[in-house]
Amino acid sequence: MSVVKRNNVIIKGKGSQVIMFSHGFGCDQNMRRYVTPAFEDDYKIVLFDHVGAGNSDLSEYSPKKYAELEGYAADIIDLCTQLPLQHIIFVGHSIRAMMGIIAATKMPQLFKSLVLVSPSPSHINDGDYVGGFTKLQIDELLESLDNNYLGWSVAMAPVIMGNPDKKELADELTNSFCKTNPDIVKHFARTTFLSDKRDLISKVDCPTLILQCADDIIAPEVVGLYMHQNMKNSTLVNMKATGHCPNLSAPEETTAAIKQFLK
Amino acid sequence: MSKNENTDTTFSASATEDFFEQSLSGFLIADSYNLIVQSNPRLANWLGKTVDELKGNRFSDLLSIGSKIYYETHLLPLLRMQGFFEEILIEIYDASGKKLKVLLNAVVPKNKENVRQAIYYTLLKAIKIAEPINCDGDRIGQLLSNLIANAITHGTPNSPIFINAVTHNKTLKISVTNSGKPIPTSLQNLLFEPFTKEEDQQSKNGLGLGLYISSEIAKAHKGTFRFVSNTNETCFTFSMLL
Repeated sequence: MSVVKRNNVIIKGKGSQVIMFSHGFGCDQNMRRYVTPAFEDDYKIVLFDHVGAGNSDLSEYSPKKYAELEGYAADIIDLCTQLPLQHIIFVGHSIRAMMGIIAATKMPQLFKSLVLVSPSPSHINDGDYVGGFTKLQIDELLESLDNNYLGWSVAMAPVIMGNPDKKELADELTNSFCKTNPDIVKHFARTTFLSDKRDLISKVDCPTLILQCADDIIAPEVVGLYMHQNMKNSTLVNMKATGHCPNLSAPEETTAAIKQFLK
Repeated sequence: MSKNENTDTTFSASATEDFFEQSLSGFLIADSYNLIVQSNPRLANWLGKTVDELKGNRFSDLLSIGSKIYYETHLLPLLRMQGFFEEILIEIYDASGKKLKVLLNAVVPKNKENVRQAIYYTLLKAIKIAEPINCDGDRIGQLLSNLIANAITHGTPNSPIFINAVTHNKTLKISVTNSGKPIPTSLQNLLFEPFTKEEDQQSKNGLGLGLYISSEIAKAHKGTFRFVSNTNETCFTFSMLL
């Protein structure tokens, strides 16, 4: 089976050092569109969609494999071994950052460094640990998904088609952006919001950049600090950007922070 | 037709303000940090707050937890990438702390240098019910769901389905309307009997129990369940006295 097809892999850029971008919860590799151009001259850029998202091969979606973040981490390792890629810089957003961490603890030789954008090892408050949500809130979230009150992903495609101003963007986005099977969204939300990888983050050895936004309800500032304190070789950058997706809301600041770290 | 520029400008400014004050939709302006800069009384009233109390709050804090995460992970990225989104169903908390379903629209205004006017939101109440209703919510939900499913199965695929729910004159009315071929006369008298379905029905999924169950739910609420079906439209209406 081809990982290129399975994960809709796209490779571009003029450099030789590999930088792999992994998108966050909810959308696909298009979320990186404002950030990746800044790396095209100096790096070999590898973009992909995780199975279940974007234009990945949905027939490869296995509820058993992808019930754990380890299933996705195994795909990242597959990509590196089959393409093949070595000594990569891995840029992971949100929950996908944790998949990079898992992969880096399993096959450290594949990774040169990690860039974690708005990461969180666990979303649920637990004793002294502040994850940002109570267990009750996460249960309510998962229940709202189960009941499909909000329609989550399904409402997306028609909305995008209605974009008259950016026709070229619309055509491209209609085919992939946020177009996710509702059952997969539900399942992935469970995997995402119930996972707890706090015990794993201290096992990463490679240099790691943590990009922390201000006022991020999904990965609050205390979480970024917690990660920094528990990852021995890490650099924490508190950004001016707010929210959970600085790659979209503040691409220049995001790009500059990553470039500074890679210098 | 000639026009007086001065009068127009004056009128336009006060009319816009008045519209913002009195409109039945909720309006909200957020800054580049997505903090509320301005809202209208209608929206503040839904939320049980004053316009001043809302100022400075984070927009996403108005939302239920599911909507909040949906908003942060889906809607905001969408807004950043295409500059708007339209009519997405979300939940906000109303004055009594209950979840209120609204349709949310957002647009990033064009050519605005002012960072205090970064996102314009419009909120529409999906359903206009002014008072709490004593009924079996799950069963009424089932009734509505049956009607929508029927409208999807039998309506013209490219015509909209209209769903209406209002309280008026101490009566609750819920109706679902679709266009398409009228229900055959031979079937109309049997419609609320169990296991009634069209012979050449495209969907083989139904058992023909949907309308029977819906009419029983209506009876249990001492309500009425009626329909009109002609070449213009097919409309099922449930009514109950409050």
